[in-house]
Amino acid sequence: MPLGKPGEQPSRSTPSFNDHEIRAIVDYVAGLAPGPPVPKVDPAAGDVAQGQRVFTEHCAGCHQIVAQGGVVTGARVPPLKDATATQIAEAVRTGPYLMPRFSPRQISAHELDSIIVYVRRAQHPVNRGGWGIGNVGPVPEGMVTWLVAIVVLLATCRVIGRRVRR
Amino acid sequence: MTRLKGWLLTMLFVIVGLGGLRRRGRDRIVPAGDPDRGAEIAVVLLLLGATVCGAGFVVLYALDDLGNRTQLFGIALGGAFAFLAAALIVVGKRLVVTEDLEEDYPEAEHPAQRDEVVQIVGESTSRFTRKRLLAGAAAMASAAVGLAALTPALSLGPVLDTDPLLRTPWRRGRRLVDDNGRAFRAADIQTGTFYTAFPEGASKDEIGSPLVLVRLDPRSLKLPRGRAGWAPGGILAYSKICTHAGCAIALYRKPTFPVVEPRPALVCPCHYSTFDPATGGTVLFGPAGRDLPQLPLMIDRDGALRAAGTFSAGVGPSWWRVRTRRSMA
Repeated sequence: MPLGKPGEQPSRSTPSFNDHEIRAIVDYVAGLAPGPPVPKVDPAAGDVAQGQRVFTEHCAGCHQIVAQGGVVTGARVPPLKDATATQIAEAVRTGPYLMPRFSPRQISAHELDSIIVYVRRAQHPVNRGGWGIGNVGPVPEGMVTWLVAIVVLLATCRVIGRRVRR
Repeated sequence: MTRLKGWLLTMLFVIVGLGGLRRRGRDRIVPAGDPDRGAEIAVVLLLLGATVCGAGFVVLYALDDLGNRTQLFGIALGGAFAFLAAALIVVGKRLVVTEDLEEDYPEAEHPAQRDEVVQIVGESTSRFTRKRLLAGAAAMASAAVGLAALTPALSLGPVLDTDPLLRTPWRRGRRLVDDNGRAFRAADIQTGTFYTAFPEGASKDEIGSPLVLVRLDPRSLKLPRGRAGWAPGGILAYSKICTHAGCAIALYRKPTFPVVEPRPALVCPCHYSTFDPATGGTVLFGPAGRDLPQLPLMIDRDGALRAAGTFSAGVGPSWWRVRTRRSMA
């Protein structure tokens, strides 16, 4: 904040205002009309397995399974690596920019806590394979496969073929 | 007609040309190499392996109720190609006579010597002692792999029954329920978000079952002709299965500030096919070839959402002539 121009997609950047100014703006806007309250979160009550299930169902389509972000047609989807618990809850309940909002009927308060626990786990993924390659899915994995596969194929050609000696 | 004649003439020339290449009854130039029975047996066994894998693919394809079918298909086809490749490697390394050339090539204007070179190349396969056995094994392996490659075409019909793809559990009066079986009431459906609905009392796993529900401003709707009244209160229901490759449409793009942001759209996360819910599910972007099928809705006296008929088109990924068929209730 603030946006460079209307229609620009908001993205995470260094705030132009200091904490005091931000609080003043929030108080002013809150004084115009009552808005939705800041959702209360309790990550300690969440369950990471349930969080993964709910995240897969509602969030991973855009945000990717380990919350690295991606695209939808017409917008970039931000990664959640710096998102705090309250920010995640606010985004789920209000739906910023092109994101749909999710009512407590779709994602209950407990499921929201679980999502937060899961996202926190995903922010520091355990790469049991030893090599995460950015954890962004098939593109880098495919590149690695292709590069390795091509080297193996060339080596095979070298083994089964032979140069004519003169 | 002229094209057909041209093809026939070309084929005739090719056959005559191939026949002319065969020269028989001349003395050998390259001495016959030592027979390598072991290598020959290995080649036959490897070709048999390819045959078994290729035939295995056909059998696996025919068995409907297997788990991990994709992986088994991959193992069978990959194994067939690996066996073929191994057989060719053994032929190349052990059975074809290799001679290192120690002189420069002769000038090209000596046709007799050129013919000799052709004969040398022709006879360089002289280590084969059981040519017909090997040729038979190779033909069998090629046939099995070829058959395996053709087998999936069966799924295009009409050999297989495609009616189940068009059958859906939706019929007039069936209530819409959520994941947990609770009925959706019209008042539950808010704008700015999307819901997944299923038919009450039917399997959720059928391709025709899941719906995506959204609510838009009724004034913003431009539904095709004949769909008046399909969206009571601006509530729209579409099949959740993308018409491109059959993924679940799990993304809903909804503008916070519609003036400058892209319009509301249902997006499939697999290949970003984008459908416009306001105009009857027309394709805005992406590889989908036809509109998302819409389900007409009605609101009963208790305020619950019910289907008012069946889908506007066949649900699921597109296939041969799906456009001309309607789904069956």
